[in-house]
Amino acid sequence: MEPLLAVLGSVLALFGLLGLFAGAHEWLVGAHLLGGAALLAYSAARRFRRVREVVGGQSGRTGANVVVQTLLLCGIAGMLAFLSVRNPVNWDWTESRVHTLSPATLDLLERIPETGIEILAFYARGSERDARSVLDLYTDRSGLVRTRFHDPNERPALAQRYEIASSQGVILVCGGACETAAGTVRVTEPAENELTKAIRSVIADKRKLYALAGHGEAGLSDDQAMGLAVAKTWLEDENYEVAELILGDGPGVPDDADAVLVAGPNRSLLPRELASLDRYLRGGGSLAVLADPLSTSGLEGPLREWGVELGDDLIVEEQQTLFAGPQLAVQPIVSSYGSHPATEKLARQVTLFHLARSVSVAEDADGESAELALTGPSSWAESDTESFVRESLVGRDPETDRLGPLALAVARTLPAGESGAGGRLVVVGDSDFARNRYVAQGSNADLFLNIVSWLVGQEEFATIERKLPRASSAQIGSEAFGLFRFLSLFVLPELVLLAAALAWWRRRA
Amino acid sequence: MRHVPAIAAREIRSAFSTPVAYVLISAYLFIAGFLFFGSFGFFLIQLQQIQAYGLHHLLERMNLNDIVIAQSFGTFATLMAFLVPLLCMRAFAEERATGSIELLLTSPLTSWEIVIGKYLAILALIALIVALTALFPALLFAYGDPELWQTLANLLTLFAYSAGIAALCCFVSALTRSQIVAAVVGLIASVLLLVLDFAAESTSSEVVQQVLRYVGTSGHFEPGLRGQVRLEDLTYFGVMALVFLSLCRAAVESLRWR
Repeated sequence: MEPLLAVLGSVLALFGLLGLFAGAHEWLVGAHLLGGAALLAYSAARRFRRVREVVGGQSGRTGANVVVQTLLLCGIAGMLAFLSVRNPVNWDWTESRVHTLSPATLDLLERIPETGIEILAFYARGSERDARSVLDLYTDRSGLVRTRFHDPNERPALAQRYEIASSQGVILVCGGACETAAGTVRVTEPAENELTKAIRSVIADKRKLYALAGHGEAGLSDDQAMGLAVAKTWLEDENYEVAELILGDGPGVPDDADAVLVAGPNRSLLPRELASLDRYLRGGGSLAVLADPLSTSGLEGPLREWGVELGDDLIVEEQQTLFAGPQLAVQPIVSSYGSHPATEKLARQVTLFHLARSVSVAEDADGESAELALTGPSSWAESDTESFVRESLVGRDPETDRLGPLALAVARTLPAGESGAGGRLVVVGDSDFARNRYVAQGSNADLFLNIVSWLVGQEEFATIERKLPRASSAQIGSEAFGLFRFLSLFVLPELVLLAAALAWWRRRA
Repeated sequence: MRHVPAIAAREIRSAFSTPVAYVLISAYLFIAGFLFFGSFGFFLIQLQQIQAYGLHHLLERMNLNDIVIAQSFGTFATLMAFLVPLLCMRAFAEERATGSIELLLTSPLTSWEIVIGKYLAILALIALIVALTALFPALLFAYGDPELWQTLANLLTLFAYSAGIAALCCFVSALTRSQIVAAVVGLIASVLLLVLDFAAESTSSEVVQQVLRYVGTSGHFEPGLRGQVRLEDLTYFGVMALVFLSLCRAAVESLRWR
């Protein structure tokens, strides 16, 4: 009778515990646990005399010895498990090191303030595996990163509090504890480059970027195709404060400017505005000039003084198309980048430009210079821009048109002058790549954001390369595939079964 | 421990003298092959479609390890949760049912030697199954270029996982005379450990979640399938083996003094 009661009690207790973990009704869980405990206790009480005899005898002492040894071993095992969790050691056996954080991320984790970072991940149950594996890399490396996972379907009130509307996974990163959705940075793709970007957004100081206005530049709040509204949003996501700057008769570039952007002016700047920019740059400021071809902004002269030549040309590139073969295009596709903090993570990435001019470092320029983006060898700088404007005709003249590769963007650090440290200057022969229509294409956004990061002195915050597993493939004919499938599905199991028959026969004999 | 190799060799001979192990391995290979070639076939269809539509940029995302090998090995691990209890069911239950355990217990062998010897024999069987499983990715190496180390991580993970649940099933086998009971209880326990991760998500207590997630097996073999070998996971399977083998030894020892 007692063994039956003990088994019944164990079953009730087991299902009570399962119900507890599965979130079953409290009364059901309670009834199971109480019923199980009562049956076990009753069974033990009925067997008490026998238990006392066993414990008190020789076999009891031997048994106690075994129990102690077993408990000791289990204790050691538990300690090993605890130590392995507390001191994570991982080996990444993938060729692309997709499970290894980049040095930039590790450096960032070192600089997390003591208040820490909290990361809330909202994923439907069972779909959070990828996010968990990436976030574990962060929590393993820094005790200041805390993560919590929630299923928005099971915690709708919490999801509403953090404004989680999508059923897709969303990760919120906040400096300190996440109380509300305000002040959090959202990440929709659980990848290192996105998460690190979000973390640095919440811990880095805000930087101020002014965008020059008043000369037909791309508008910061213009959400039409040729505006900069998308780029502005991304800059704000990266912890920048972005404002318009009208130099006009004002006192010049404000003191709180970390960088000034001149994006595609199509009217000339006034001499005093050029003088303000010159003062600002030579005084250690940072300036980005995105100068389109076929227009004059008056910046050509100052740029020459700053060591950059703007080509009076239009870049034409021969491109291969799927059905029409080689075609001439005025939308250069760049996949070659110079060695510079702004572009070193863009290897193998593609950036797209639209109506661009060449840019080069002046021969007599001192200070440090680097070409950022280079066109392919099948491109040239079309100097006859009038024919293009008039009749959309282009054709390379070997005498006047320079053959590619041609620089589309250059970066310069001006030498330190009397008025202080030398400024940082980036000149790009196109502004369209940063405008709403094009900025989301290829890696244009990364190029633009990296340029701004370098200008404000946060080059370590430049884009972290997205790690993908090495691509691999297999070439196998349908006959070979069918043969191997047949061998695997039928011949291999068949051979094992034949061996089974032989074993049976041998045993029978 | 000098008797351990002799016990292990005896157990291996005994396993291969009856058709049960052969039939189990054969069934496993059939199902595993079916799943693997299904996954490989799907990969090849995707590849053909990408090439037919000229979507060459998608070729960068095609990865044999993630799409074919890791997916298949995830399913193989689930298969192992069913296969290993069947391989282990006879370890002690059969000896108890036939009474031959008396001979072992009255011999000069220690309980540890008996338990480890039998466990090593099961590990040898599991190693054989994992080696046969390696034939599937080997085919990919013959016709493609998957990553070697990630594939080795998959094999190591499958072996470590199977070794962990083998210890659990040995313990279950030592508790009963019935092989069927041993197989069914071992299977239920293996599957419960496999799905414990899901149960963890439904609790609100963070501590309980962490404990359940650690105790569950799936969270410990998934990183290995992705090519991430973690000391925590290897320790987990080692600890699992140590705990259940020591419990198994206690169960065997209890037969001496009961």
